[in-house]
Amino acid sequence: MPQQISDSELELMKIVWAAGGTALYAHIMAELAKTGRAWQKNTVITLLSRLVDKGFLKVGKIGRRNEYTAAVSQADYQASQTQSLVNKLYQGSARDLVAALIRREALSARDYEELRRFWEEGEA
Amino acid sequence: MSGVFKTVLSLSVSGSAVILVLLLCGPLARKRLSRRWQYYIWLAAVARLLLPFSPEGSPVGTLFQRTVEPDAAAVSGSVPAPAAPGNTAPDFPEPAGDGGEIPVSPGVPAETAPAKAEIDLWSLLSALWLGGALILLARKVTAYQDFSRFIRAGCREVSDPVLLDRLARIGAEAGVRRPVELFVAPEASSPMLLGLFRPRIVLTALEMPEDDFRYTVLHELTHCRRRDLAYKWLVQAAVCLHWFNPLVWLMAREIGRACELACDESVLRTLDGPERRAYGDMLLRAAEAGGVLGASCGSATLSENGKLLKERLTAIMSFKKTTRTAAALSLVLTIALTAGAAAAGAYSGPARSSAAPERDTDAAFFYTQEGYYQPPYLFEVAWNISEAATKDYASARAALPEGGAMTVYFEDACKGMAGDKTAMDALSALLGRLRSEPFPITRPLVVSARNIQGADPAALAERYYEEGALPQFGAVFPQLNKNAQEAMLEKLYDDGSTAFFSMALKHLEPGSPLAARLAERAYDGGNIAFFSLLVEHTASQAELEVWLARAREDGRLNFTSVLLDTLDRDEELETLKAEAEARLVREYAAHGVTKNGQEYRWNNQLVRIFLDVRSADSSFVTLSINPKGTVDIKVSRGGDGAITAVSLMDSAEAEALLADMNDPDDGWDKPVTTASPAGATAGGGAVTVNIPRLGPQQDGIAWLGEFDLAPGDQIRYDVSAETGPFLQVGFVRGQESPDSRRFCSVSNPRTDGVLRCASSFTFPAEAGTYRLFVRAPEGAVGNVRGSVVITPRGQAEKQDFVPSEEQVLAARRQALAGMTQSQVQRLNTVIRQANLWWEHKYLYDNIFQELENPESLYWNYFDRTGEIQTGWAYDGELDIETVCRREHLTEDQFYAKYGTPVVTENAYDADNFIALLDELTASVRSQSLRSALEYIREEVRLAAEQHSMEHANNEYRALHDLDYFLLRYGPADVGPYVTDGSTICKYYGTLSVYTK
Repeated sequence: MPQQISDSELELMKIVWAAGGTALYAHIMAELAKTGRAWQKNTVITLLSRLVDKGFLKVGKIGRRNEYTAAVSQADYQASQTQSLVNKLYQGSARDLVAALIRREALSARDYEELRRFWEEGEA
Repeated sequence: MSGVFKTVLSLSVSGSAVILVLLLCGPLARKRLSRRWQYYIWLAAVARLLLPFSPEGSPVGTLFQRTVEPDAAAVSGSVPAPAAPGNTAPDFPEPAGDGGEIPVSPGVPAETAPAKAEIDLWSLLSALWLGGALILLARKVTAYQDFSRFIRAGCREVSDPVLLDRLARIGAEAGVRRPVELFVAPEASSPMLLGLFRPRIVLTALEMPEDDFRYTVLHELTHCRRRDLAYKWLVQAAVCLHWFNPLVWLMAREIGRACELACDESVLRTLDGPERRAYGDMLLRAAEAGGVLGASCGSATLSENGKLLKERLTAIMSFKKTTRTAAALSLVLTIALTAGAAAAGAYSGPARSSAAPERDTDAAFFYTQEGYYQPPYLFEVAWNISEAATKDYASARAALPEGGAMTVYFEDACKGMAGDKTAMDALSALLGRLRSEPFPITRPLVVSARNIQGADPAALAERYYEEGALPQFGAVFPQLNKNAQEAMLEKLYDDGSTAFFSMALKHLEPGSPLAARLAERAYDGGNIAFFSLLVEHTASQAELEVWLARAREDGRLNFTSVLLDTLDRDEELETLKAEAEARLVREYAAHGVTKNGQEYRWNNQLVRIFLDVRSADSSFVTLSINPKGTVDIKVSRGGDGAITAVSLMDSAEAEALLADMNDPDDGWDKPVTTASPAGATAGGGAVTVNIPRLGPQQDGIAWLGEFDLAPGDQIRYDVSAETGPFLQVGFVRGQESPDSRRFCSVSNPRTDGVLRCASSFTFPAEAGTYRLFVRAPEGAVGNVRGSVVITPRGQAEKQDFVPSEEQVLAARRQALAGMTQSQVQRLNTVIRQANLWWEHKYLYDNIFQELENPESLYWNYFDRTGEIQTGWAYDGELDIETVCRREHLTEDQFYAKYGTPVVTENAYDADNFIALLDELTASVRSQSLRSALEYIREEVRLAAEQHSMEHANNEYRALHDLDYFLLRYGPADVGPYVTDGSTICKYYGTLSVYTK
């Protein structure tokens, strides 16, 4: 089970995931710039090495360049995050979460339908 | 094992010698030398303690062998080797199977017993030592681990990219390229740096003003850049190994202190006035906000204890960039120390570690290291490596283009190039080029060589920048095309890398639009460092004038003074300073404080401590301490910067401030006097009170007689005593007590040892009978010594004549008239070095006392050049008298048997120095300067001929007067860098230029 990561680290993970799970450092910087986050080089390196420490990324070398590979898929991450959310706020009960979402109308009818199907497949 | 222990013991002994020298140097060095030097010079001691290499035949090494091994030698000598292989005592190595001598054999029990006991004792001691070292090491490591774990448990990463970005930018500014982790741990007692390989800064809180964040991080990053943690661990290793040696513990404490001070100094170097103030504020706040977790040995913290903190604040308030004088003095001391350390058996590294890479006119003394491009090679070459270091390197002869050849030395990494024709050809061409430079090259050392044929210069420059390799960067930068150069410059500016920036600027064309643009940015951003680099290297005279007008109009004093400095308009710069000063003086006068030079008076009393904390412009704190003063005052200012009040400082505040000031220099100005009879003697109108040695005075006060004094009388004290804390000398009127009112009093607030009060006054009060006293307000006073000289008014003026700066400047113009610039420079250098040499010997070797004995080996300084002997070292355990009596030896025979010569280097014997003086004299036109030099020459000759201390002392006094009172103005040029200016202000009256 991977640890918690900060919002800024998540930003970097999203870039790596969006690049198909593997990205060069230069690509990450470029993508950050596109979203208006002109972070300093050392800031990004620090955040990336924290992600490596936490087991979210693996780092390899292509020549002198660093290549980062996601060690956790986006789906796995979301699942674990949901699980921890459920554990934290709803005492392990996913039903309470869904109920809460429906009450706040945070789930559309289509979302709900998809959820139901997913649930039943899981049951089967 | 006992072999290892013996090695450690021997290292401990020789290391202690180096530590002692450094500790003794402390008080002098503290005032004059950069903190950085004071910090790194300790490496000499650490290296000595850790590295078991020694030049052959060093005194400590041989001594130690001698004291450790005589018994074994004696035993082996007396036993005629009854070979009994397989039966030898277990602690001795198996002898080679040649039937050679076996030191101990069980067949001779009478001889074995003592040797065996010896062995057992050594084994026992070794085991004790090893046990101690291991326990200590384990404790240090676990303490660090616990500490680190504790911190880690309570800390969290800082994930705010705004803070991380700020950290990265400050890192670039501080020259730390690698990423540094940032944590926050509310339990930590102070911000700190952790981690040798992966540096982490731990803050105590994130909610702090942006400036505090900046300075805190800047401080920690500076530790990181300088690898202070590695240094600390090295020191801890020495402590573990030498745990039994209290000096090593003392050394560790001193290094810790020096580390923080040097770090502050390095940070301050980049800050201007108000920023410095803010930095000090931050230190205080950090101390206040401290949590509960203390520092461990393996971390570098921001603030550790109150006393050190005070010293750091004082240093910040009085921070001055190291002057060339101080740098030169550092060098002289470094050379002296390295020589001393080598003589004591210390490890002397290659010259690179010691000397400052600074170019100066007397470059022959300076080790320099620079990068050069000589197609197709990029060389990093050092020259003027020390003669002694040459044997550490491989060497080859390189042909010179104009014919002949030169010996070149190689670092291990590139010694292979000696056989490479292309490389050697390039090197020859480079040497030919360098030899035509104004600074002569001797003993070049190739540090690195790299064939860069076909490499992309831009990529290389980028790489060298990333690696922090300044010399290589400097060599490659001119090879870049114009666009690449400009892009690089812009990047360097953004990164805040001053060193690389200034290197690159040297190659930018004058009038470059980029330079103008950057200068504009620096001006707007208040970045004075970059601004001064830019205008100095690129602006034309006309542009400088435009800038100057603008800075003046904007009222930006910092920039105005930088520009005036660049334009060499010293007079206007002085005027600017004088104007600021005059404004201040008027302001003080309006509040009852008169300022005259460095002296402040308040209500007709001389001020001892004067403290004015201003915040308006760059000069934000004035702290003046005048030991002659009697009253302590402080200036308070309102929010608008105007003075609101001048008030007395309460005594607790004043004492706290004084207690943390550096100790006064004892010995620096110790006059060379001969004993004179006790009691008051009248001579030439002056009354000299020679104080007899007084035993302990119970009530803490000694009365030394009654005297009739009148206003204008000159009074000079030189009194020392062994007392408790605080020694005071002065006069009181009639039967009054020193507690009520005292006149011309001098206080020395040190805490222990021999205290000395030396000073002179013009008597200010009304005529009458006064009593002279010496007292120790907080303890018994004992062993009082010294003299008090009272010279009646009128006769005083001539005796205490000290030339004023105007007189000096006028006399100097006359004295140096008709000489060329380089002749003046040469004269200056020679006299200064000779004077500093004497003062150094005076201080550390008590040379005049040594020279009182005509047979003293110190006279070798006059008689010989090169390696000379100045004394004998012998094992301190031996009592010379006992040994001489027992073995019927004379002192000389004792030294021959047990002593090791103490050897040092001497560059000039009397004959050579006389030749040098003759050469100088030939360049001088002024008759009075000539006669001064001839006087020195004659005194040198007489000293050498008669081995007479008086003549040697005369030589020193004349050199001193020339150095401080003709060639520079000691009180103004050197005075600001010392707290006690008494030596510098001392004029011996040897120069005829000042007599009418």
